[in-house]
Amino acid sequence: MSRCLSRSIARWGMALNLCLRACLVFTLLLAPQAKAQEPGPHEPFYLDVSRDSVRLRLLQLKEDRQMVIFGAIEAPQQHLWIEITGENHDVNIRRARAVKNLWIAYDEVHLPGIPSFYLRADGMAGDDSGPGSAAQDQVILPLPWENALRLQIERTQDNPQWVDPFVDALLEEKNATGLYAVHPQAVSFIGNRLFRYDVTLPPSIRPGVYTVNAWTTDEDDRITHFARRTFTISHAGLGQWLWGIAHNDEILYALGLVFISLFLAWIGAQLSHVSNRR
Amino acid sequence: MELYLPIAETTIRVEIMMLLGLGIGFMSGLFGIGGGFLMTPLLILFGVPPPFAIGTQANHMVASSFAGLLSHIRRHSVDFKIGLVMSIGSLVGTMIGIVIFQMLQRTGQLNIVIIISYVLLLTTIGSSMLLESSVSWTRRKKRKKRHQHYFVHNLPFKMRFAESGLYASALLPLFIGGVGGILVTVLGIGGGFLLVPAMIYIIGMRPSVVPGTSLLQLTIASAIATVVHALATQSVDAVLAITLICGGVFGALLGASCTSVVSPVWARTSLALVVLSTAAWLIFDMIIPPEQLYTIIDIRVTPDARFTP
Repeated sequence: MSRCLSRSIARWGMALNLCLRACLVFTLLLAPQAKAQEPGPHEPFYLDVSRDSVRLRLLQLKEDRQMVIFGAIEAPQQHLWIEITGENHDVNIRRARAVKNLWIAYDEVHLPGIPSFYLRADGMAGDDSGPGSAAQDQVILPLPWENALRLQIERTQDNPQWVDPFVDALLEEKNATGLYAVHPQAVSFIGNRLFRYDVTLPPSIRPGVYTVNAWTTDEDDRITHFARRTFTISHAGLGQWLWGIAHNDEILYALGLVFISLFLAWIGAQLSHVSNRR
Repeated sequence: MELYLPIAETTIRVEIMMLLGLGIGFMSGLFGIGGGFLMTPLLILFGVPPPFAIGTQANHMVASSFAGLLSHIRRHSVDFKIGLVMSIGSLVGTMIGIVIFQMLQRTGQLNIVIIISYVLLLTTIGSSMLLESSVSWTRRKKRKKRHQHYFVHNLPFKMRFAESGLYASALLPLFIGGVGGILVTVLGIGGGFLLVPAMIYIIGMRPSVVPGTSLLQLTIASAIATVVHALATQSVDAVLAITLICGGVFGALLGASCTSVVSPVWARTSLALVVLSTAAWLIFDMIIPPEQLYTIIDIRVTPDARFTP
Protein backbone atom coordinates (compact mmCIF):
# COMPACT_ATOMS: atom_id res chain seq x y z
CA MET A 1 0.00 0.00 0.00
CA SER A 2 2.69 2.40 1.09
CA ARG A 3 4.78 1.32 -1.93
CA CYS A 4 1.85 2.12 -4.31
CA LEU A 5 1.34 5.50 -2.66
CA SER A 6 4.99 6.41 -2.99
CA ARG A 7 4.98 5.38 -6.70
CA SER A 8 1.90 7.48 -7.49
CA ILE A 9 3.42 10.50 -5.64
CA ALA A 10 6.60 10.07 -7.68
CA ARG A 11 4.58 9.95 -10.93
CA TRP A 12 2.59 13.05 -9.99
CA GLY A 13 5.84 14.78 -9.05
CA MET A 14 7.40 14.02 -12.42
CA ALA A 15 4.25 15.22 -14.21
CA LEU A 16 4.28 18.47 -12.20
CA ASN A 17 7.97 18.93 -12.94
CA LEU A 18 7.36 18.50 -16.69
CA CYS A 19 4.45 20.94 -16.54
CA LEU A 20 6.57 23.56 -14.79
CA ARG A 21 9.39 23.14 -17.35
CA ALA A 22 6.93 23.43 -20.25
CA CYS A 23 5.51 26.63 -18.72
CA LEU A 24 8.96 28.08 -18.34
CA VAL A 25 9.90 27.32 -21.96
CA PHE A 26 6.57 28.76 -23.14
CA THR A 27 7.10 31.92 -21.11
CA LEU A 28 10.60 32.36 -22.48
CA LEU A 29 9.37 31.90 -26.04
CA LEU A 30 6.72 34.58 -25.60
CA ALA A 31 8.94 37.03 -23.73
CA PRO A 32 10.30 39.16 -26.67
CA GLN A 33 6.81 39.68 -28.02
CA ALA A 34 5.57 40.86 -24.64
CA LYS A 35 8.53 43.23 -24.33
CA ALA A 36 7.79 44.87 -27.68
CA GLN A 37 4.18 45.38 -26.85
CA GLU A 38 4.69 47.09 -23.51
CA PRO A 39 7.87 49.24 -23.39
CA GLY A 40 9.40 50.07 -20.09
CA PRO A 41 11.32 53.17 -19.11
CA HIS A 42 14.80 51.61 -19.30
CA GLU A 43 14.66 49.87 -22.67
CA PRO A 44 17.38 50.46 -25.27
CA PHE A 45 17.28 53.45 -27.56
CA TYR A 46 19.63 53.51 -30.50
CA LEU A 47 21.20 56.71 -31.84
CA ASP A 48 23.99 57.20 -34.36
CA VAL A 49 25.38 59.70 -36.83
CA SER A 50 26.21 58.94 -40.46
CA ARG A 51 29.73 60.32 -40.07
CA ASP A 52 31.97 60.74 -37.06
CA SER A 53 33.78 63.65 -38.61
CA VAL A 54 32.82 66.39 -41.00
CA ARG A 55 35.80 67.63 -42.98
CA LEU A 56 35.81 71.22 -44.12
CA ARG A 57 37.52 71.27 -47.50
CA LEU A 58 38.70 74.37 -49.28
CA LEU A 59 36.35 73.85 -52.19
CA GLN A 60 33.17 73.07 -50.39
CA LEU A 61 30.21 71.23 -51.76
CA LYS A 62 26.91 71.24 -49.94
CA GLU A 63 27.19 67.44 -49.65
CA ASP A 64 30.36 67.86 -47.57
CA ARG A 65 28.29 69.47 -44.85
CA GLN A 66 25.38 67.04 -44.98
CA MET A 67 24.88 64.29 -42.45
CA VAL A 68 22.17 61.99 -41.19
CA ILE A 69 21.29 61.41 -37.57
CA PHE A 70 19.44 58.14 -37.31
CA GLY A 71 18.42 55.44 -34.92
CA ALA A 72 15.57 53.47 -33.53
CA ILE A 73 13.15 53.92 -30.70
CA GLU A 74 11.49 50.99 -29.04
CA ALA A 75 8.02 52.32 -28.56
CA PRO A 76 5.81 54.01 -31.13
CA GLN A 77 3.77 57.11 -30.34
CA GLN A 78 6.63 58.85 -28.60
CA HIS A 79 7.93 62.32 -29.17
CA LEU A 80 11.57 62.32 -30.29
CA TRP A 81 13.89 65.29 -29.81
CA ILE A 82 17.33 65.75 -31.37
CA GLU A 83 19.72 68.50 -30.34
CA ILE A 84 23.15 69.34 -31.79
CA THR A 85 25.43 71.71 -29.88
CA GLY A 86 28.85 73.08 -30.70
CA GLU A 87 31.69 74.05 -28.41
CA ASN A 88 31.29 77.09 -26.21
CA HIS A 89 32.87 80.44 -26.96
CA ASP A 90 33.22 83.66 -25.08
CA VAL A 91 31.46 86.36 -27.01
CA ASN A 92 31.80 90.12 -27.04
CA ILE A 93 28.76 91.98 -28.31
CA ARG A 94 29.16 95.60 -29.33
CA ARG A 95 26.35 98.03 -30.00
CA ALA A 96 26.72 100.98 -32.35
CA ARG A 97 25.45 104.36 -31.31
CA ALA A 98 25.25 107.65 -33.18
CA VAL A 99 27.88 110.00 -31.77
CA LYS A 100 27.83 113.35 -33.54
CA ASN A 101 25.94 111.72 -36.43
CA LEU A 102 28.54 108.97 -36.83
CA TRP A 103 27.62 105.41 -35.98
CA ILE A 104 30.39 103.91 -33.88
CA ALA A 105 30.73 100.85 -31.61
CA TYR A 106 29.91 102.35 -28.23
CA ASP A 107 28.58 99.80 -25.71
CA GLU A 108 30.00 96.36 -25.11
CA VAL A 109 28.89 93.26 -23.22
CA HIS A 110 30.98 90.14 -22.58
CA LEU A 111 29.09 86.84 -22.42
CA PRO A 112 30.96 83.66 -21.45
CA GLY A 113 30.19 80.12 -22.57
CA ILE A 114 27.92 80.69 -25.53
CA PRO A 115 27.39 77.64 -27.79
CA SER A 116 28.95 78.23 -31.20
CA PHE A 117 26.18 76.14 -32.75
CA TYR A 118 22.76 75.00 -31.61
CA LEU A 119 20.18 73.05 -33.56
CA ARG A 120 17.05 71.30 -32.35
CA ALA A 121 14.65 69.12 -34.31
CA ASP A 122 11.79 66.92 -33.27
CA GLY A 123 9.29 64.45 -34.64
CA MET A 124 6.48 62.23 -33.48
CA ALA A 125 6.65 58.50 -34.13
CA GLY A 126 3.53 57.40 -35.97
CA ASP A 127 2.87 60.91 -37.26
CA ASP A 128 2.30 60.63 -41.01
CA SER A 129 2.62 64.35 -41.77
CA GLY A 130 6.40 63.84 -42.16
CA PRO A 131 9.14 66.45 -42.21
CA GLY A 132 9.05 69.76 -43.97
CA SER A 133 5.99 71.32 -42.38
CA ALA A 134 5.35 75.03 -42.76
CA ALA A 135 6.91 75.77 -39.40
CA GLN A 136 10.28 74.36 -40.42
CA ASP A 137 13.27 76.69 -40.21
CA GLN A 138 11.49 79.02 -37.82
CA VAL A 139 13.30 79.64 -34.59
CA ILE A 140 11.15 79.22 -31.55
CA LEU A 141 12.42 81.39 -28.76
CA PRO A 142 13.49 81.01 -26.09
CA LEU A 143 16.04 78.37 -26.98
CA PRO A 144 16.44 75.80 -24.20
CA TRP A 145 19.69 77.18 -22.81
CA GLU A 146 18.55 80.78 -23.10
CA ASN A 147 16.86 80.78 -19.71
CA ALA A 148 20.06 79.52 -18.09
CA LEU A 149 21.98 82.26 -19.85
CA ARG A 150 19.57 84.95 -18.70
CA LEU A 151 19.68 83.60 -15.13
CA GLN A 152 23.47 83.74 -15.23
CA ILE A 153 23.32 87.32 -16.49
CA GLU A 154 20.92 88.27 -13.71
CA ARG A 155 23.36 86.89 -11.16
CA THR A 156 26.49 88.47 -12.61
CA GLN A 157 25.42 91.74 -14.19
CA ASP A 158 24.50 94.88 -12.28
CA ASN A 159 21.81 95.82 -14.77
CA PRO A 160 20.47 92.66 -16.44
CA GLN A 161 17.74 94.51 -18.35
CA TRP A 162 20.44 96.51 -20.09
CA VAL A 163 22.05 93.25 -21.29
CA ASP A 164 18.82 91.75 -22.68
CA PRO A 165 18.95 93.48 -26.10
CA PHE A 166 22.52 92.21 -26.53
CA VAL A 167 21.38 88.62 -25.93
CA ASP A 168 18.47 89.13 -28.36
CA ALA A 169 20.93 90.46 -30.96
CA LEU A 170 23.19 87.45 -30.43
CA LEU A 171 20.31 85.05 -31.02
CA GLU A 172 19.13 86.93 -34.10
CA GLU A 173 22.61 87.04 -35.59
CA LYS A 174 23.28 83.37 -34.96
CA ASN A 175 19.86 82.51 -36.39
CA ALA A 176 20.50 84.59 -39.51
CA THR A 177 23.77 82.74 -40.18
CA GLY A 178 22.14 79.36 -39.61
CA LEU A 179 24.17 78.71 -36.47
CA TYR A 180 21.09 78.55 -34.25
CA ALA A 181 17.93 76.91 -35.53
CA VAL A 182 14.93 74.92 -34.42
CA HIS A 183 13.32 72.61 -36.98
CA PRO A 184 9.98 71.37 -35.73
CA GLN A 185 8.69 68.09 -37.17
CA ALA A 186 11.90 67.67 -39.17
CA VAL A 187 12.66 64.14 -37.94
CA SER A 188 11.15 61.53 -40.24
CA PHE A 189 10.12 58.02 -39.25
CA ILE A 190 10.30 54.82 -41.25
CA GLY A 191 7.55 52.73 -39.78
CA ASN A 192 7.06 53.43 -36.11
CA ARG A 193 10.54 52.85 -34.81
CA LEU A 194 13.28 53.83 -37.22
CA PHE A 195 13.98 57.54 -37.45
CA ARG A 196 16.31 59.76 -39.45
CA TYR A 197 17.08 63.45 -39.47
CA ASP A 198 18.89 64.92 -42.47
CA VAL A 199 20.88 67.97 -41.51
CA THR A 200 22.94 70.34 -43.63
CA LEU A 201 25.41 72.22 -41.49
CA PRO A 202 25.73 75.95 -42.30
CA PRO A 203 28.75 77.19 -44.31
CA SER A 204 29.99 79.29 -41.39
CA ILE A 205 30.24 76.32 -39.00
CA ARG A 206 33.51 76.21 -37.12
CA PRO A 207 35.79 73.28 -36.34
CA GLY A 208 35.34 71.57 -32.99
CA VAL A 209 33.64 68.71 -31.15
CA TYR A 210 29.87 68.65 -31.59
CA THR A 211 27.44 66.78 -29.36
CA VAL A 212 24.23 65.14 -30.51
CA ASN A 213 21.68 64.55 -27.76
CA ALA A 214 18.45 62.68 -28.48
CA TRP A 215 15.65 61.80 -26.16
CA THR A 216 12.07 60.68 -26.24
CA THR A 217 9.24 61.97 -24.13
CA ASP A 218 5.93 60.42 -23.29
CA GLU A 219 2.49 62.04 -23.24
CA ASP A 220 3.28 63.71 -19.92
CA ASP A 221 6.51 65.18 -21.33
CA ARG A 222 8.62 62.93 -19.15
CA ILE A 223 11.90 61.78 -20.65
CA THR A 224 11.72 58.07 -21.36
CA HIS A 225 15.00 57.48 -23.20
CA PHE A 226 18.17 59.45 -23.71
CA ALA A 227 21.26 58.89 -25.86
CA ARG A 228 24.30 60.93 -26.81
CA ARG A 229 26.83 60.84 -29.63
CA THR A 230 29.63 63.16 -30.63
CA PHE A 231 31.19 64.04 -33.95
CA THR A 232 34.00 66.36 -34.91
CA ILE A 233 34.22 69.09 -37.49
CA SER A 234 37.74 69.70 -38.66
CA HIS A 235 39.73 71.22 -41.44
CA ALA A 236 40.72 68.78 -44.14
CA GLY A 237 43.55 68.43 -46.59
CA LEU A 238 45.28 71.63 -47.58
CA GLY A 239 43.09 73.72 -45.27
CA GLN A 240 44.12 71.63 -42.27
CA TRP A 241 47.78 71.91 -43.21
CA LEU A 242 47.50 75.67 -43.71
CA TRP A 243 45.67 76.18 -40.41
CA GLY A 244 48.29 74.13 -38.57
CA ILE A 245 51.23 75.97 -40.09
CA ALA A 246 49.58 79.40 -39.64
CA HIS A 247 49.09 78.78 -35.92
CA ASN A 248 52.18 76.71 -35.10
CA ASP A 249 54.87 77.95 -37.49
CA GLU A 250 53.81 81.55 -38.04
CA ILE A 251 57.19 82.69 -39.36
CA LEU A 252 57.33 79.89 -41.92
CA TYR A 253 53.73 80.60 -42.94
CA ALA A 254 54.31 84.32 -43.34
CA LEU A 255 57.58 83.96 -45.24
CA GLY A 256 56.06 81.25 -47.44
CA LEU A 257 53.14 83.53 -48.28
CA VAL A 258 55.45 86.42 -49.12
CA PHE A 259 57.54 84.12 -51.32
CA ILE A 260 54.45 82.77 -53.15
CA SER A 261 53.17 86.32 -53.67
CA LEU A 262 56.51 87.40 -55.12
CA PHE A 263 56.61 84.33 -57.35
CA LEU A 264 53.08 84.90 -58.68
CA ALA A 265 53.87 88.57 -59.27
CA TRP A 266 57.04 87.59 -61.13
CA ILE A 267 55.01 85.25 -63.37
CA GLY A 268 52.54 88.09 -63.99
CA ALA A 269 55.35 90.50 -64.81
CA GLN A 270 56.94 87.97 -67.19
CA LEU A 271 53.63 87.44 -68.97
CA SER A 272 53.15 91.18 -69.21
CA HIS A 273 56.67 91.62 -70.57
CA VAL A 274 56.15 88.92 -73.22
CA SER A 275 52.78 90.36 -74.30
CA ASN A 276 54.24 93.87 -74.52
CA ARG A 277 57.13 92.68 -76.72
CA ARG A 278 54.62 91.06 -79.11
CA MET B 1 31.31 77.52 -55.86
CA GLU B 2 31.97 78.06 -52.19
CA LEU B 3 35.52 78.50 -50.99
CA TYR B 4 36.31 77.80 -47.37
CA LEU B 5 38.92 80.08 -45.85
CA PRO B 6 40.70 77.95 -43.25
CA ILE B 7 42.32 80.85 -41.39
CA ALA B 8 39.40 83.30 -41.45
CA GLU B 9 37.09 80.29 -40.82
CA THR B 10 34.40 81.59 -43.09
CA THR B 11 33.07 80.74 -46.51
CA ILE B 12 33.09 82.99 -49.55
CA ARG B 13 32.07 82.61 -53.18
CA VAL B 14 35.20 81.81 -55.18
CA GLU B 15 33.92 83.42 -58.39
CA ILE B 16 33.18 86.69 -56.55
CA MET B 17 36.68 86.81 -55.09
CA MET B 18 38.26 86.03 -58.47
CA LEU B 19 36.18 88.79 -60.08
CA LEU B 20 37.12 91.16 -57.28
CA GLY B 21 40.81 90.41 -57.81
CA LEU B 22 40.34 90.75 -61.56
CA GLY B 23 38.50 94.08 -61.24
CA ILE B 24 40.99 95.63 -58.84
CA GLY B 25 43.88 94.21 -60.89
CA PHE B 26 42.37 95.75 -64.03
CA MET B 27 42.20 99.15 -62.31
CA SER B 28 45.71 98.64 -61.02
CA GLY B 29 46.99 97.96 -64.52
CA LEU B 30 44.97 100.77 -66.09
CA PHE B 31 45.50 103.52 -63.54
CA GLY B 32 48.81 102.45 -62.01
CA ILE B 33 47.47 102.21 -58.45
CA GLY B 34 47.60 99.44 -55.84
CA GLY B 35 43.85 99.42 -55.34
CA GLY B 36 44.08 98.67 -51.63
CA PHE B 37 41.69 101.52 -50.82
CA LEU B 38 39.00 99.67 -52.77
CA MET B 39 39.97 96.09 -52.03
CA THR B 40 39.80 96.25 -48.22
CA PRO B 41 36.26 97.75 -47.96
CA LEU B 42 35.02 95.43 -50.71
CA LEU B 43 36.39 92.37 -48.93
CA ILE B 44 34.60 93.50 -45.77
CA LEU B 45 31.43 94.07 -47.81
CA PHE B 46 31.60 90.50 -49.17
CA GLY B 47 31.77 89.01 -45.70
CA VAL B 48 35.48 88.75 -44.90
CA PRO B 49 35.97 89.80 -41.26
CA PRO B 50 37.80 93.20 -41.11
CA PRO B 51 41.04 91.98 -39.46
CA PHE B 52 41.40 89.25 -42.11
CA ALA B 53 40.53 91.69 -44.89
CA ILE B 54 43.36 94.00 -43.77
CA GLY B 55 45.90 91.25 -43.06
CA THR B 56 45.23 89.47 -46.35
CA GLN B 57 45.18 92.71 -48.34
CA ALA B 58 48.68 93.45 -47.03
CA ASN B 59 49.83 90.15 -48.54
CA HIS B 60 47.96 90.82 -51.78
CA MET B 61 49.81 94.12 -51.99
CA VAL B 62 53.18 92.32 -51.90
CA ALA B 63 52.30 90.75 -55.26
CA SER B 64 50.69 93.79 -56.87
CA SER B 65 53.51 96.17 -55.92
CA PHE B 66 56.29 93.68 -56.78
CA ALA B 67 54.82 93.11 -60.26
CA GLY B 68 54.94 96.89 -60.83
CA LEU B 69 58.41 97.14 -59.32
CA LEU B 70 59.81 94.56 -61.76
CA SER B 71 58.71 96.61 -64.75
CA HIS B 72 60.31 99.73 -63.22
CA ILE B 73 63.54 97.82 -62.56
CA ARG B 74 63.63 96.92 -66.28
CA ARG B 75 63.37 100.63 -67.09
CA HIS B 76 66.06 101.54 -64.50
CA SER B 77 63.68 103.93 -62.78
CA VAL B 78 64.18 102.86 -59.16
CA ASP B 79 66.31 104.65 -56.56
CA PHE B 80 67.30 101.65 -54.42
CA LYS B 81 69.22 103.69 -51.86
CA ILE B 82 66.36 105.98 -50.95
CA GLY B 83 63.95 103.03 -51.23
CA LEU B 84 65.95 101.09 -48.66
CA VAL B 85 66.06 104.07 -46.28
CA MET B 86 62.30 104.39 -46.66
CA SER B 87 61.96 100.66 -45.99
CA ILE B 88 63.79 101.04 -42.67
CA GLY B 89 61.21 103.70 -41.83
CA SER B 90 58.50 101.28 -42.95
CA LEU B 91 59.80 98.67 -40.54
CA VAL B 92 59.42 101.10 -37.63
CA GLY B 93 56.04 102.28 -39.01
CA THR B 94 54.81 98.70 -39.25
CA MET B 95 55.70 98.06 -35.61
CA ILE B 96 53.88 101.22 -34.55
CA GLY B 97 51.00 100.27 -36.87
CA ILE B 98 50.53 96.82 -35.36
CA VAL B 99 50.34 98.33 -31.85
CA ILE B 100 47.69 100.81 -33.08
CA PHE B 101 45.87 98.00 -34.92
CA GLN B 102 45.71 95.76 -31.83
CA MET B 103 44.69 98.67 -29.60
CA LEU B 104 41.85 99.63 -31.94
CA GLN B 105 40.80 96.00 -32.25
CA ARG B 106 40.62 95.67 -28.46
CA THR B 107 38.54 98.81 -28.02
CA GLY B 108 36.24 97.89 -30.92
CA GLN B 109 36.99 101.09 -32.80
CA LEU B 110 38.99 99.51 -35.63
CA ASN B 111 36.18 99.74 -38.18
CA ILE B 112 35.29 103.34 -37.49
CA VAL B 113 38.93 104.47 -37.52
CA ILE B 114 39.44 102.63 -40.83
CA ILE B 115 36.33 104.19 -42.34
CA ILE B 116 37.04 107.75 -41.14
CA SER B 117 40.66 107.51 -42.30
CA TYR B 118 39.54 106.19 -45.66
CA VAL B 119 36.97 108.93 -46.07
CA LEU B 120 39.51 111.66 -45.25
CA LEU B 121 42.19 110.20 -47.50
CA LEU B 122 39.92 109.35 -50.40
CA THR B 123 38.07 112.66 -50.37
CA THR B 124 41.31 114.63 -50.32
CA ILE B 125 43.02 112.57 -52.99
CA GLY B 126 39.93 112.16 -55.19
CA SER B 127 39.18 115.89 -55.12
CA SER B 128 42.75 116.86 -55.94
CA MET B 129 42.88 114.31 -58.78
CA LEU B 130 39.58 115.53 -60.18
CA LEU B 131 40.79 119.10 -59.95
CA GLU B 132 44.03 118.22 -61.72
CA SER B 133 42.11 116.31 -64.41
CA SER B 134 39.73 119.20 -65.00
CA VAL B 135 42.74 121.48 -65.44
CA SER B 136 44.14 119.00 -67.98
CA TRP B 137 40.81 118.91 -69.82
CA THR B 138 40.76 122.69 -70.10
CA ARG B 139 44.49 122.77 -70.90
CA ARG B 140 45.18 125.51 -68.39
CA LYS B 141 47.73 123.56 -66.38
CA LYS B 142 50.30 125.69 -64.68
CA ARG B 143 53.83 124.45 -64.29
CA LYS B 144 54.68 123.91 -60.65
CA LYS B 145 58.09 124.32 -59.17
CA ARG B 146 59.18 120.84 -58.14
CA HIS B 147 61.90 121.47 -55.65
CA GLN B 148 61.18 124.12 -53.05
CA HIS B 149 63.17 124.56 -49.85
CA TYR B 150 61.30 124.15 -46.58
CA PHE B 151 62.57 123.80 -43.02
CA VAL B 152 62.70 120.01 -43.53
CA HIS B 153 65.65 120.42 -45.86
CA ASN B 154 67.74 121.71 -42.96
CA LEU B 155 67.40 118.46 -41.01
CA PRO B 156 70.58 116.53 -40.03
CA PHE B 157 71.89 113.12 -41.29
CA LYS B 158 72.20 114.24 -44.90
CA MET B 159 72.92 111.62 -47.53
CA ARG B 160 73.55 111.66 -51.25
CA PHE B 161 70.98 109.85 -53.38
CA ALA B 162 72.53 109.75 -56.84
CA GLU B 163 69.60 108.23 -58.76
CA SER B 164 67.26 110.95 -57.50
CA GLY B 165 69.86 113.69 -57.84
CA LEU B 166 69.46 114.63 -54.20
CA TYR B 167 71.52 115.58 -51.19
CA ALA B 168 68.94 115.44 -48.42
CA SER B 169 68.39 114.38 -44.83
CA ALA B 170 67.80 110.64 -44.40
CA LEU B 171 65.16 111.52 -41.80
CA LEU B 172 62.73 112.57 -44.56
CA PRO B 173 62.54 109.23 -46.40
CA LEU B 174 62.62 107.49 -43.00
CA PHE B 175 59.57 109.48 -41.87
CA ILE B 176 57.67 109.02 -45.15
CA GLY B 177 58.47 105.29 -45.13
CA GLY B 178 57.22 105.15 -41.53
CA VAL B 179 53.90 106.74 -42.53
CA GLY B 180 53.64 104.19 -45.35
CA GLY B 181 54.27 101.35 -42.90
CA ILE B 182 51.53 102.58 -40.56
CA LEU B 183 49.06 102.92 -43.47
CA VAL B 184 49.77 99.39 -44.70
CA THR B 185 49.40 97.84 -41.27
CA VAL B 186 46.41 99.76 -39.93
CA LEU B 187 44.41 100.42 -43.10
CA GLY B 188 45.66 97.68 -45.41
CA ILE B 189 46.44 100.21 -48.14
CA GLY B 190 49.68 101.10 -49.87
CA GLY B 191 49.07 104.81 -49.61
CA GLY B 192 50.82 105.45 -52.91
CA PHE B 193 48.48 108.38 -53.53
CA LEU B 194 49.82 109.96 -50.35
CA LEU B 195 53.47 108.92 -50.55
CA VAL B 196 54.10 109.77 -54.20
CA PRO B 197 53.28 113.51 -53.83
CA ALA B 198 55.25 113.55 -50.56
CA MET B 199 58.29 112.07 -52.30
CA ILE B 200 58.09 114.66 -55.07
CA TYR B 201 57.18 117.78 -53.11
CA ILE B 202 58.72 117.14 -49.66
CA ILE B 203 61.83 115.07 -50.40
CA GLY B 204 62.20 116.62 -53.85
CA MET B 205 62.87 113.39 -55.77
CA ARG B 206 62.99 113.26 -59.55
CA PRO B 207 59.42 112.30 -60.70
CA SER B 208 60.70 109.60 -63.07
CA VAL B 209 62.11 107.49 -60.20
CA VAL B 210 59.27 108.16 -57.75
CA PRO B 211 56.76 105.43 -58.82
CA GLY B 212 59.43 102.72 -58.92
CA THR B 213 60.95 103.76 -55.59
CA SER B 214 57.48 104.00 -54.04
CA LEU B 215 56.75 100.45 -55.24
CA LEU B 216 60.05 99.21 -53.76
CA GLN B 217 59.14 100.74 -50.42
CA LEU B 218 55.59 99.34 -50.71
CA THR B 219 56.80 95.82 -51.55
CA ILE B 220 59.04 95.77 -48.50
CA ALA B 221 56.48 97.49 -46.24
CA SER B 222 53.66 95.13 -47.25
CA ALA B 223 55.94 92.09 -46.86
CA ILE B 224 56.81 93.26 -43.34
CA ALA B 225 53.12 93.95 -42.63
CA THR B 226 52.22 90.43 -43.84
CA VAL B 227 54.80 88.87 -41.51
CA VAL B 228 53.74 91.07 -38.58
CA HIS B 229 50.02 90.35 -39.12
CA ALA B 230 50.71 86.62 -39.44
CA LEU B 231 52.76 86.63 -36.24
CA ALA B 232 50.71 88.97 -34.07
CA THR B 233 47.11 88.41 -35.14
CA GLN B 234 47.15 85.32 -37.43
CA SER B 235 44.92 87.31 -39.74
CA VAL B 236 46.44 86.51 -43.12
CA ASP B 237 44.42 83.96 -45.05
CA ALA B 238 46.59 82.22 -47.63
CA VAL B 239 43.68 80.86 -49.66
CA LEU B 240 42.02 84.26 -49.96
CA ALA B 241 45.33 85.97 -50.75
CA ILE B 242 46.25 83.53 -53.53
CA THR B 243 42.74 83.71 -55.02
CA LEU B 244 42.94 87.50 -55.12
CA ILE B 245 46.48 87.49 -56.49
CA CYS B 246 45.58 85.05 -59.30
CA GLY B 247 42.61 87.22 -60.33
CA GLY B 248 44.70 90.34 -59.85
CA VAL B 249 47.55 89.20 -62.10
CA PHE B 250 45.21 88.62 -65.06
CA GLY B 251 43.31 91.81 -64.30
CA ALA B 252 46.53 93.82 -64.22
CA LEU B 253 47.64 92.35 -67.56
CA LEU B 254 44.25 93.21 -69.05
CA GLY B 255 44.34 96.72 -67.59
CA ALA B 256 47.90 97.33 -68.77
CA SER B 257 46.96 96.30 -72.30
CA CYS B 258 44.12 98.84 -72.24
CA THR B 259 46.38 101.76 -71.36
CA SER B 260 47.29 102.27 -75.01
CA VAL B 261 43.66 102.87 -76.00
CA VAL B 262 42.73 105.08 -73.02
CA SER B 263 43.99 108.64 -72.79
CA PRO B 264 45.83 109.47 -69.53
CA VAL B 265 43.50 112.37 -68.73
CA TRP B 266 40.43 110.18 -69.18
CA ALA B 267 42.02 107.48 -67.01
CA ARG B 268 42.85 110.00 -64.28
CA THR B 269 39.33 111.46 -64.35
CA SER B 270 37.81 107.97 -64.12
CA LEU B 271 40.07 107.07 -61.22
CA ALA B 272 39.17 110.31 -59.42
CA LEU B 273 35.48 109.49 -59.84
CA VAL B 274 36.03 105.94 -58.56
CA VAL B 275 37.92 107.27 -55.52
CA LEU B 276 35.25 109.89 -54.78
CA SER B 277 32.43 107.35 -55.25
CA THR B 278 34.15 105.05 -52.75
CA ALA B 279 34.47 107.93 -50.28
CA ALA B 280 30.78 108.87 -50.79
CA TRP B 281 29.73 105.27 -50.24
CA LEU B 282 31.76 105.09 -47.00
CA ILE B 283 30.33 108.41 -45.77
CA PHE B 284 26.82 107.17 -46.55
CA ASP B 285 27.56 103.94 -44.70
CA MET B 286 28.82 105.86 -41.67
CA ILE B 287 25.93 108.35 -41.38
CA ILE B 288 22.94 106.12 -42.17
CA PRO B 289 21.89 103.99 -39.17
CA PRO B 290 23.35 100.51 -39.73
CA GLU B 291 21.05 97.56 -40.39
CA GLN B 292 22.90 95.63 -37.71
CA LEU B 293 23.43 97.73 -34.61
CA TYR B 294 25.19 94.88 -32.88
CA THR B 295 28.50 93.25 -33.75
CA ILE B 296 29.21 89.76 -32.42
CA ILE B 297 32.82 88.78 -31.82
CA ASP B 298 33.71 85.21 -30.84
CA ILE B 299 36.71 85.37 -28.58
CA ARG B 300 37.94 81.89 -27.71
CA VAL B 301 36.72 78.40 -26.98
CA THR B 302 35.79 77.87 -23.34
CA PRO B 303 34.63 74.28 -23.00
CA ASP B 304 34.48 74.48 -19.21
CA ALA B 305 32.06 77.37 -19.07
CA ARG B 306 29.10 75.66 -20.73
CA PHE B 307 25.58 76.86 -20.15
CA THR B 308 23.35 73.86 -19.88
CA PRO B 309 19.61 73.79 -20.37
